[in-house]
Parts: sequence; structure tokens; C-alpha cells
Amino acid sequence: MKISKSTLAGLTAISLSLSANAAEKLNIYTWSESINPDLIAQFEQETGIDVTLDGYTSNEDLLAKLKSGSSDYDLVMPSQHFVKIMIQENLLKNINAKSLPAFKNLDPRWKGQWWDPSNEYSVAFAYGTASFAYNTDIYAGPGTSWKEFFEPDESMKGKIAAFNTPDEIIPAAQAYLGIDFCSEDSNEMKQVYQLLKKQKPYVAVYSSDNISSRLAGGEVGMHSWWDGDTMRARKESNAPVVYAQPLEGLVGWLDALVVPKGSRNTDNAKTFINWISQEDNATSQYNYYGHSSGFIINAKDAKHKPGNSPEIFPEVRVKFTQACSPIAQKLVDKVWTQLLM
Amino acid sequence: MSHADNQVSIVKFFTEKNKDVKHYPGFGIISFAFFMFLYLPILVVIFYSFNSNKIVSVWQGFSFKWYLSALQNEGLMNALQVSLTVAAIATIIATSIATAAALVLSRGKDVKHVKLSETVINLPLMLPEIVFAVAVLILFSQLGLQDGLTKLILAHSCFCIPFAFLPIRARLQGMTNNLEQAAQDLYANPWITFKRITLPLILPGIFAGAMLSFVISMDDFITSSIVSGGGATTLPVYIFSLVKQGVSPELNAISTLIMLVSLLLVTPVWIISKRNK
Amino acid sequence: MNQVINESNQLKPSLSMVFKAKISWNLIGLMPAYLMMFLLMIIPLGIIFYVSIMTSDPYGGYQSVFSLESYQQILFNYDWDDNLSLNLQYLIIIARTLILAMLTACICLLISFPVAYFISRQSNSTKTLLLYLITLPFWVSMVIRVYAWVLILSNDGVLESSLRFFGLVTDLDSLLYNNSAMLVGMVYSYIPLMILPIYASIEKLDVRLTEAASDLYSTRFKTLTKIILPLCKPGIVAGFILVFVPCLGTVLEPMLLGGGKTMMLGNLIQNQFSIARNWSFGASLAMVLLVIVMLFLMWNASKSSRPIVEGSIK
Repeated sequence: MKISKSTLAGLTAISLSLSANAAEKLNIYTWSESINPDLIAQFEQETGIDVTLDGYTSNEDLLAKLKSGSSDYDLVMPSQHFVKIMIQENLLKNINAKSLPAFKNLDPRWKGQWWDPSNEYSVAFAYGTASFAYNTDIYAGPGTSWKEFFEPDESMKGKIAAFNTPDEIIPAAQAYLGIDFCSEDSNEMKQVYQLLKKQKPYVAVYSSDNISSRLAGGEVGMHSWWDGDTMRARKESNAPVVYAQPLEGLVGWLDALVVPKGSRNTDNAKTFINWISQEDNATSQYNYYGHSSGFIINAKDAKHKPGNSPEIFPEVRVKFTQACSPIAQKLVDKVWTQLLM
Repeated sequence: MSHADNQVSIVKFFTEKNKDVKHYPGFGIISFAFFMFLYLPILVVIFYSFNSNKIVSVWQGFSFKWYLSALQNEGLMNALQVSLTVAAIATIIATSIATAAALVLSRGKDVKHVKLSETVINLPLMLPEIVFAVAVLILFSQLGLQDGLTKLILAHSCFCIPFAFLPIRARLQGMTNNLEQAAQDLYANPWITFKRITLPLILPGIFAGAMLSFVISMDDFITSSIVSGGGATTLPVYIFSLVKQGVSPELNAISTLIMLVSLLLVTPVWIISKRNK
Repeated sequence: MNQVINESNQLKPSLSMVFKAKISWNLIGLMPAYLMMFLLMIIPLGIIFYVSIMTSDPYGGYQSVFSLESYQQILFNYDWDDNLSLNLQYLIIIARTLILAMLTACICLLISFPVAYFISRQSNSTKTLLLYLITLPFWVSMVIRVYAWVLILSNDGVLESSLRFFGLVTDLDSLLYNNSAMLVGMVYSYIPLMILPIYASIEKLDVRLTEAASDLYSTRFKTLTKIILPLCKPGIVAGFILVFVPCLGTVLEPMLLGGGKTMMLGNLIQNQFSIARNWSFGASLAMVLLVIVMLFLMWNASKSSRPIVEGSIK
């Protein structure tokens, strides 16, 4: 019959293409544009593993994807407090990180930390801070206090942009107001809410995408941003952007490589972790990414040194975000939903 | 013709037009404006894909470079492969199921609850896709279904069924069953009747249903975006992630390439279907 | 099964054998469709209802704890003193969605009818060409078509650059990220769905009716309103539904053209399953959307139970 023949042909073609994909695979879901594409190509060449790279711009995005079972990713990169949450929520595979060759290449600071004390689930990849950056063509600075961001000058009305997730905004507000991170006090969080609410008319858009063109292009004068990204924009595109280092404190983050529970190519994930932890690769990644590396790098080949990279060598204190208790998390969600309504 | 005759015929043309009971003034202008509206954005995308400047809207010079980088874009190629695979398999499944159902509902004897069956089959058409997408998301997460491709194929097959069904059903309804009855009178069993008579006659309908189903699957965004997972990113979802990163000439080039492919696919199908009529 | 087929191969198959064979074929033919719909539509819809009456897990997903709080959340929220207060924000989003969907459908109708009528008046080859031109953009992915409007409307986008080039404006406030931008995007995306059914209706129109009307000294306007439009009602209604229902749940236009600030029901629901991590609330919103669509379809079905002929005589 005509139909069955063409069906057969179609099925054959498809099964052929599917079997061609039976090569070794690795599905990585990480921060957008965080891993050096040259390194990926090099890795694929050296190991013959086919890598697919998907990107996200917030930890909440990642958590939602993993929680909805919609994963099938082999390697993801949550920030430290989300590592703790994911371990609690049983979303990660125990890869016995401390037994991996990569573990030896880690900066000793990041071993045995509070988010993964037994070093079984995670390997530190990169760390840095979150603050705000400003376009000097629109705003002169000085960028020394959160007040400039949360209680800006009249001239900045509609010229500010903030992340679209609470994760690094609320701790910043808390640092400014002198409140503890992960506060369980409703009154304190009410203050946070009121501060953000007062800022809202000055905010043109809440977005974590496309920050570089929005700020460097002059669409806004101030934008929530991360240290390494600001530095890259300044160095690579000569953008007139300055990274603010508020005296009240910077919000610190550390991204770690972890393997989600649903992973089907765990060995390939481990291969990648070990591979990228090697000094040369880690240095190359550092030069590309701009964020401080969790692994030990070759200081000689490093492009970003304290002299030319003030953004990633902060002078003010840095407080790492914590994994909040469900009560504290509910308060955070409450502030954010009410703010964005 | 003399000058006077010309004048008369021109006047005749206009007055005849005014007397034409079916002519509505302004409809032509609206139609012209509409086609402009329809194609202007597309032309804009194509035009600026040749802009050598990275900032899209400031014209700097003519260049093909964005097309080169688009074709080398690995993410794009992966997404294309996923889309094609899912669309092909989903189309086969949906068309088969739809054909069977259409045959029963049009030709079956004493089929009860025809209206109910039609409603059930057309359910995906009646619901906003977002509801279907989140429903299926929760279902798959409950079932612990991990593989992205499988999830996409299942979901796509489901919502493509009504799109495959409608053309086949229309075709069947437009056909009297004289030929089939004649075959029966000549002692052909139902199976042979189907194979030799019915099937060839409804083939255009099946083809139309399959094409429609294929396009719907390729173009789907909402369900594919919500259900997507590792390595199972379809073309529209991938393009969306590029759009979120901002307007860029490479994106314009990618869009133009896709438009070109659509044009190349749809045109012959259109010509064939017109000839069949 | 084999026995049945063999028996029906005999010269004169008994009626009961054919009867039985047909019943089984009916079931077999319909079974896959029913199975597919049941497993992938009906059960998931039930699951949505179930999740809507459960509690959301703070990290995503849901907990099997019964609670109607997610329905309550649509109208009320707990303010900072833990008092329940009326919250209009979600109602505003729902209202905005209804209004924009309605506006889109109406605008599409106003444009589609003249265009469809104009096309039907052309010669056959022109008709084919024009129809082809109308459906062609539809085969291009919707993401690209909405992206085209981002390109045109964004700051320093094509529209602003062109206007600046002609010296008409110096700096426009953002044309993007508001209701109008979404409206334009929605009309652009869904208008082919309106034109085709209306065109089909117009084509089926008996031209002699319009000629008869003019012979009876009717003006063209009267002919339009009293004869043509009522007779085209099925096409108009079909087009309206095909545009209105998807618009209610549309996600691309609010995301790309609305920015985070002007939400519609579709992307509000989607948010609950991603960054907002409030599955139960998302499910209850989905139920609300479902109910709205059901009500609309039922209202529409009840209206069309009157025969068309009656309508046109009036």
C-alpha cells in the first residue's frame, strides 16, 4: 500500500537519524553564555562526547525546571544556597565529589562549605558578587551605596532596571536596611517590601535577560548586574559601565557544578567536571567568563588581575546568600509577588 | 477607435462599476493596506538581515556574514533536528489515528454518539494551548517521564490529531459512497474495498491532514517551551531564547532562512492541491 | 477477527456477520483517538483540577494537602498584618486578557470581512494567488512573526529609526511593553485564522441573492447588512472563535511585546510553573481560563441553535 511504504520509509529515516545520535551525549544546563564555547568544542574533540548547551538567567528558573521533572540534564550550575535546597529536595545525584580528580584542583576555600559539607554533591565552579552597574553617560556615580539604587534621584525615573527574580535583590535590600538575610520577621520583610515598592516607579523593566545591551545601549542608566559581566562589557565592548560597590555590602554567590537526579549520562558529566577543572582549561574559562574561578588557575596566563579588574576584586564586604527556611522563603515570595503585581 | 469613442468607453467603465451591485468602495483599499500590513514586518526582517552592522536598525552596508554564522550555529542545527524528528513522528501518529477515526465517523454503520466523538477528537482545538501545556507538564512529572523527545512526541501527536482529522473528514464527507457500494455489490470484502477504492480517494485529504499536522507541530511554541528539557529544544523555542537575548542581525538571518524554507515547502504543496481540485 | 473476515468473504455474507464486523471496526477505528485524548487531555485536566485544590510546594511542585487557598489567592491576599484584603491585580490581568482578546477578534473581523469579500470578487487565478499570499506568513513560525514587531517597535528599532531618518521625531518613548504593542502583535498573528473561514462563507454565498436584492432597489449598504452578513454568519462566528479562544491563552505576545509589566492570563499561568513556583495557583488560574472558554463556547452554541434563514429575513 502506498501509505505503508512511505510510512516505512519515514520510520527508517527517523530511526537512522536517531541511532546516529546514539553517540555519547552530555546535556548541560547552565547560566547563559557562561561556558567558553571554544572549550566546549575542544572538549567535544578530545572526548568525542556530543554536548548540548541550554541557558538560564536565574536560579529560580533552574529549580523550577528540575522540580517539574522536566530535566534530562546531566550537568547544571546552581548557586550555593540553591545547592543546599536541591540536596534537601532530593533533586541531585550523589557523585561523591570528593573522590573526583577535580576535587584536588579546587581552591581549598570552597571545600566543606555549609551548602555541601560532605562534599558529595557539588564542585565549585565560579564565584562573584551581585550589585548594580551604571552607565556613566547617564549617571555619574559614585556607586558607593545601595541608596543610589533603591532610593534614586528624581532624574533616574524610568531609567533603572532590576533582576526579575528576588534572589539577589531582596538580600541587597536587606543589606541596605541592616536586616539579616533570610529574616523570618514579618515586620522586617514589610520594610523590605516598602523599600522596593517605593523604587518601582523608577524601574523601567524587571529583567535578567539582555542586560548588556540594555545598559550599555543606554536604554537604562542603572541595572542589576554581576561583577564579571560588567567587567567583560567594559573590557570587550568598551561600554561606559561601572560596577558599583556599595559600602553596605555586596551580595555574594558561588555557582557549583552538580548532577541532577534524572541524568542519564552521569559518567560524561563527571568527565566534563574533571576536564574543566584542569588548570589550563580552568584558566581559559576564567579568561572568557570573567568571574573568579572555583578551581586553581594559572596566575601567569590569567587575563583578569587585581590591577585591571576592580570589579572582581571587591574592596567592600561580601555576604553570601543563604538557603532560607520555608517560612523565610514564603516571606520572600510574598514580597516579590506583591511587588510585581 | 475615435477619441470620442474612447471617452465614452471610459465613462462606461466607471459608471458600470458604480452600478455593479457587488462592488463595495473602499474594500479594495482596505485589502491593499492589509497586504502591506501583513508583509511589511516580514520584509523588515529580511531587509535588515543583510545589514553588516551589529546594531540592527542602523544600516551600515550589505553583507551575507550573518547567514554564514547562522548556518554554523550548532544550537540552531540541533533545534532544527529535534523539530523535524518530533514533527515527522507526531504527524505519522496523528494522521494514522485521525484517518481511522474519520473513516469510522464518516463510513461506519450505526456509529453512536458521532457528535460526542467529534468533540472529543477536536478537544485540543477548543482549549487554549497553555492549559494543555501545563496539564501535560504535571502529568509527565507525575509519571516520572524524563526523556524530552518522548514527551514532545506524545504531546505533539495529541494536539495534531484534530488538525489531521478535519481535512480527512471534509474529504470523506464530500465523497458519496457510491463507488464503495458498487464494490460491495461486486462481492469485495470490506478490507479490499478500503484498500482499492476508499484509500486512494481520500489520499488527498490524508495528505492535506498530514501537511497541516506537520506544520502545526513545527510551529508549536507554548507546549514545546513548557515541556522542553535537556536536548529537546525545538526550533521555535530556540529562536525564542535568541529573541530574549535581544534583537540581532543573526536572528534576522535565521528567521529569513526559515521563511525561505517554509516558502519552498508550502508552494509546491499549494500548487499540487490546487491542481487536484 | 479472522473468522469474521473469512466468513464475510463468502458470496452472500449474512447480515449479522457484517453487522458485527462493522461494530468492531468502529471501535477499533475510534479507540486510538479516544485513548489518546483520554490519556493526554482528560486525565491531565483532571490533574489540573486536583492540583488547584492542593497546596504549592515552596520550591515548585505541589504537596498533597487540601487547600482552597489558591482560588482565594485570585481575589484576596494576606497583607502584612495577616489580614485578608481584596486584591484586584489578578482580576485586572483577567480583565485585560478578556478585553484584548475581544478587541483583537473585533479588529480582525473589521479587516477580514472587506478583504475576504474583495478576494472573492477577483478572477479565479487572482483569488488563488491572494489566498496563497495570505496563508504564506502563517506557515512562518509565530515566534518570528512576533519578533518582527519587537524589531519594529523597540527603542532604536526600525520604526523609530525610520521616523528619525525622515526628521519626524527625535526620541520616542518606548512603543513596546504596553497594551497596544500586544494588541498589534495579536492581530498580526491571528488574522489569517479569521480571513479563511469568512472567505469560505462568502464563497458559498449565492450571488443571485444580492442581485435580487438590487433588483428590488436595495442599496448596497442594505444588501450588505441584511443579506450578505447574516448569511456569512457561520464563517464569521467560526473565525471569531478561532481568534478569540487562542488569544485568551496567548503567551508569546505578552512575553515579548508586553514586557514583565503588562501581563495576560496566559503568561501569568506559565509564570506559576516556572519562576513563581506556585503550581497550585497556576492550576486554579488555568481552571478559571477553562471556565471562561467553556462559558463562551456554550453561549455561542446556544445562540447558533436558531436557523440562519430566520435571521436574514428580519
